[in-house]
Amino acid sequence: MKGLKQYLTPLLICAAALVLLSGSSRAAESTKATTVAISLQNIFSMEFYTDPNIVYSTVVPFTNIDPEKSMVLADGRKDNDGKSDTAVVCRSNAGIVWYLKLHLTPAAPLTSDKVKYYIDQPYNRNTGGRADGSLTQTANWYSFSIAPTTIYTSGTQDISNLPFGTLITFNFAIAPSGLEAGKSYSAAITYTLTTTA
Amino acid sequence: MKALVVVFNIAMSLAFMPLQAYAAVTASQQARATASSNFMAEFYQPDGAHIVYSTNVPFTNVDPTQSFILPDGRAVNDGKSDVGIYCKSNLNLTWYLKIGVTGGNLPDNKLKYYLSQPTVWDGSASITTNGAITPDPPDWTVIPKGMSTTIYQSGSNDTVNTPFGTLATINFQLDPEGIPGGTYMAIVTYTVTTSP
Repeated sequence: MKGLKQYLTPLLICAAALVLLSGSSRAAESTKATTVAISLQNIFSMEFYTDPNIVYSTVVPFTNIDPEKSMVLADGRKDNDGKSDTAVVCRSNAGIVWYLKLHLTPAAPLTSDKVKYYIDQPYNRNTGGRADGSLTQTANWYSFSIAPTTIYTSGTQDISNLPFGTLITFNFAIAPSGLEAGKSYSAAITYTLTTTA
Repeated sequence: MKALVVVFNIAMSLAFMPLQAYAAVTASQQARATASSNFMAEFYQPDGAHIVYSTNVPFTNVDPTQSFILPDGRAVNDGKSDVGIYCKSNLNLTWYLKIGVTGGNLPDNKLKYYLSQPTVWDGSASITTNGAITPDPPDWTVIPKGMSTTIYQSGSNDTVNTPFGTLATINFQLDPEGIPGGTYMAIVTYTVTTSP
């Protein structure tokens, strides 16, 4: 019994020392938590963009057209002047693909084939770069359709593009051949932002 | 009857002695309590004037077309903070305040914090600590998800800071870019630890 005690005593002392050492080297720690609760409004909107480089919005004038030209730009515009006639900002946080459609409603005797539009790859206003969606047709001049027609389909980045949205710029032109001198013509251009293809 | 009176006197005498002994033990216990370890984090109780929230921070009916979104009722430079955390320690070991998003369904990297230099009570006034904040200078910084990041390391004037502790005030900001409309939650965990 005495021999057993002689062997056990040093072991017990070592074990106690280990326990004490492990306790003193263990990191002290205390935690608290906050729950952050967020409710985010649904946004699906389009508005005209105003900027010194965007010349028009609700009215685009073509005054005193020279009928000898094959294509006429809007008043005050020149080729490659770095500006655009109109621009719209499309905003969505619906998390689903959206489409921008365009169509023309001409007042007779004007016909839709006389009015052209030009659309380039839109801009992601959150990054400053180009948006990652796809144009239905490559950037160029096209005749209008009289029915809403998809001209741009959102990409993965601009499916939810808040807060600043996607900027889409437009230029317009008139093909004056066949238009009568001294007459006034008009047409309504409609932009439609929709989640329906 | 006489004999009974004697017994009563003896009893009074015996009762007095143990009372003296008990008082001495109590004094000894109080001395040990003063020297005990103190290491904890606790919320500053919201008072509306300085600290607005503690366990719940609401962002209600957020307009996501704004790029800078603060919690309900807050405005830029309103002189308040969203939460205050008291970090108390008398271990005489450098301690660290860490923060992380440890749960919820808010997409990653959408919640930011802002931490100014903490303050500590020096016995007569509240003074700024000389510990290290991250980032320095203060700036809105993403709270990482799933891990804790050190945002403050105690300095020489607040490594031991009992009984009042160091007050770290934190503000939150939401970045709505790319988040679909809906309801979200994020659990932000603060950890005070002696482990770097």
